[in-house]
Amino acid sequence: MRLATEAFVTNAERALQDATLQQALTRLVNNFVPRRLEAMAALGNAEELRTRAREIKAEAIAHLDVYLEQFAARLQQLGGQVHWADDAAEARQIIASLAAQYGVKRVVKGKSMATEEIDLNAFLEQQGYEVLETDLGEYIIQLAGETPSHIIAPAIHKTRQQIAALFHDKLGVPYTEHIPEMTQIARRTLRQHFLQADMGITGVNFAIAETGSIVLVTNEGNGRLSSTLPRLHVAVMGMEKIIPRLADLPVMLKVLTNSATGQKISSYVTLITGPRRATDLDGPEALHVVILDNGRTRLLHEETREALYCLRCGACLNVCPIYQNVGGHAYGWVYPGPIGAVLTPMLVGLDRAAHLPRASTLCGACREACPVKIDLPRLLLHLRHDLVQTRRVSPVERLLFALWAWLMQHPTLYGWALRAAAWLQTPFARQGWLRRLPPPFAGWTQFRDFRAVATRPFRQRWQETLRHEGASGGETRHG
Amino acid sequence: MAEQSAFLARVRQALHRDHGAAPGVPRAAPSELHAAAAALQQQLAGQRDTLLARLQHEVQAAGGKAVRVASPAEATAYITRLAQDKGAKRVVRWPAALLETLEVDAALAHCGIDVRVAPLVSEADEATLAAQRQVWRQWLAEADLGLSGVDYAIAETGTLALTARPGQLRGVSLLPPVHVAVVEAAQVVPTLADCLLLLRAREPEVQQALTSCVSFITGPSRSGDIELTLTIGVHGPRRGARGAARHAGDEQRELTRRERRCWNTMRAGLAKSSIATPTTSPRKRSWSLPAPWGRPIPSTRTKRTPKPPPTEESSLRRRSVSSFAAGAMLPDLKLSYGKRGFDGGKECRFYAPIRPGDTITGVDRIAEVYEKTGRSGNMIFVVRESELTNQRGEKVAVIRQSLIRRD
Ligand code: SF4
Repeated sequence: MRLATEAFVTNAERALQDATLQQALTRLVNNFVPRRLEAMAALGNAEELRTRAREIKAEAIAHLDVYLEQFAARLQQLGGQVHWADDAAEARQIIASLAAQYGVKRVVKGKSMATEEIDLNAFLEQQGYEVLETDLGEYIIQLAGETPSHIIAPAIHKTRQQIAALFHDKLGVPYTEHIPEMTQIARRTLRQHFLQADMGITGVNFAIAETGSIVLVTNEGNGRLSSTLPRLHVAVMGMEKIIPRLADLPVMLKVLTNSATGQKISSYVTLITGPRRATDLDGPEALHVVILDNGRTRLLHEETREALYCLRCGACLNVCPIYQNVGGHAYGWVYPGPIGAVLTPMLVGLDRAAHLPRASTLCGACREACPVKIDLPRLLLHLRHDLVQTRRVSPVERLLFALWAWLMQHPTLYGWALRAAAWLQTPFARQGWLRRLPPPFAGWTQFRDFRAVATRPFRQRWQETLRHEGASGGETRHG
Repeated sequence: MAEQSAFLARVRQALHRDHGAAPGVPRAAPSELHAAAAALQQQLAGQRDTLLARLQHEVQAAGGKAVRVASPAEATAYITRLAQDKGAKRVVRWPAALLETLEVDAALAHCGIDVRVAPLVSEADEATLAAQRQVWRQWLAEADLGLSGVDYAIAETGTLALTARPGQLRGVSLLPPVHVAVVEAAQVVPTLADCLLLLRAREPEVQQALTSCVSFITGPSRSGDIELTLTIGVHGPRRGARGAARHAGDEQRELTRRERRCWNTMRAGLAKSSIATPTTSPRKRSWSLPAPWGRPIPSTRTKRTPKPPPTEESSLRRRSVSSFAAGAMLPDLKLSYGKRGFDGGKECRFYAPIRPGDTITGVDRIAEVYEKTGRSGNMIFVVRESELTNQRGEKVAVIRQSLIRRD
């Protein structure tokens, strides 16, 4: 996927003007947020499950090398093959040579963020393969030549009218806005492709070290079809998808689906352990798993490691006040929202995504929502700290903060400064609020109101209270 | 292409761990597994009825259909009727022993329906197998109804667990537009964890036990990819009938049809230059706090919990002081961006204590509406003021809350 992270500010502004997108985002928020809350409340022990899920991921990542090795060994015992890709280019190359080796012509894809990350479709198409996305949302955006705007609802930014027109144009079917009919159009078209495809590419939701199994979680069944019908199944997984034991799966699944869509479980959970066995009558004859690093080892450092616990459930996107207003495309790469603001700079470099760690109010809603309790605000602060350390902030900003720090260390001066501010603000303050400030501060009040500086500072009030209580003979407290 | 050893060495280095110091997953001893599985089976024997009821409920909740039958004959009759209703011409099925006892083939054949039973392959030469695979692929693609058994059914979620043991073709539950699975009462387990335990206790080797694929199926194929509107049957079965069990028609349910808040229509079309401060008839609402309501006032966060439960007491618990004011009375500003807004901050002033047993009456009014214009368009600020008084008419608190909407 083309990187447009540098343009975050302009992208975000454009998104805010886009009334269709704003409506779609409203729909998303009204839908996903209450459903997750309801589902988590219904679980009864959501807190325990989240803690347990976090422990499982923590254990897996802390011993990632061992579990990856074990996973690979177990899968190979069954004739599955494992490939290791340091970066996106390597992963693409591996998949292309597999396609060549097996004489593939047509490729179907299940929904996968990892393959978006390595920009696989464009590459395979260049090489002359026919590649078809089979998740309805991904199919829609593939037809439209766009990119996903949400981790689990990729076409959330499109209206039914837009999709209807798209189907009419690209598939030559009569125009219809009836959603079930549109779904059936997609079903008919895709079914034909499924039966003809030689290679199915999917992502991986969980990889189980103990058994060498991979787990696909979908609602439509695209993962199940892509991994069953074509004779070759290639699964692409970020190396952090490992969980240690089969027995860990129920916990992980529960937190994933309840957080993602508010479902107790998704319609299809497919647990694949190797390619088809000798006497199986269906299933793929070969299974290849591509394990992707692509910058993830950089995240293994203790400070940032928890970003690798992410299950890609999308819950943090839905609750984020920034995402809720600018949508996924503004973030400029595959992973939007709070987790995107952490992953993108770490995977593509802070230089190219300097805006993203700032695209957060640090309100903490993401941390509350995250099924594995990733402390996203802390990670964002960590990145901001890096930004400052590496001097990627404007000299004016640095100067102002230096001044502020200096003032804060000199209480008397600080008191005077505040008093001066309280006096200077009088023409602008109204009922304790600053609605509009003159330049150079105008920018601050352009979108928001500020509390006016108190005319009677707290320190003064405190002194008065102490004096008052002393005088009235009341109990005097010393703070 | 990266070498495994180099790849893992780099990971190890980034983790600051020396090689070999990690546990790996120990294999569970088969004897322990057997003991645990046996204990579970024993425990479940007494709960069959509850489990079946739960399963039935959950399957229906997931959009499938679950029917309980008393006898094999009833199951056969159900399946035959369903196949006829759906106009099925070709049925594919597993060779499961349970399905044999139903004698469903004869019943279907009697109605002119062609039934193909997957062969139980144990050993065959590669050429024969290849030919069979080709034939079955075709049959599966053409079939109108797939009939299978299950390995287990999970009551908690209404999930069917199907392994790929010999004869148990994956395609039977995947390709035909209707899937019917017959479940025996003894196959129902409470949770996924129980299911996995029983599965792996079947074989000494866990990879053997899991077969090449275990499909966990819950309701029919569904998608919300177009405007988050739930539709059934984008890929897999459109209607799965299950246990003589599940079936969900093509009907769609709108997920988005949440109860809309009824906003009071007050005043529309704020013009850019002239923003009037609407004068409103204040709206009065009061609640009696039940005497034992001594809990701390919940944080405003709980306000977001949708659909408070029906009893009055519990719905009261979910209210925060500031949400006494919420709900009924924001002006419909008719903004092009709909009704979503930001919290612009709130301010509570407390004048007298609020005690359990008090009756609090809130009067809301819109104190102010104004706008700001920035690079990204207009923002409308609405300030709402709620005055709360107790049963003695004393003012206990005033809450000013501002909400920001985009125009
Ligand atoms: S960071 Fe947490 S909430 Fe966000 S997508 Fe990942 S798992 Fe979900």
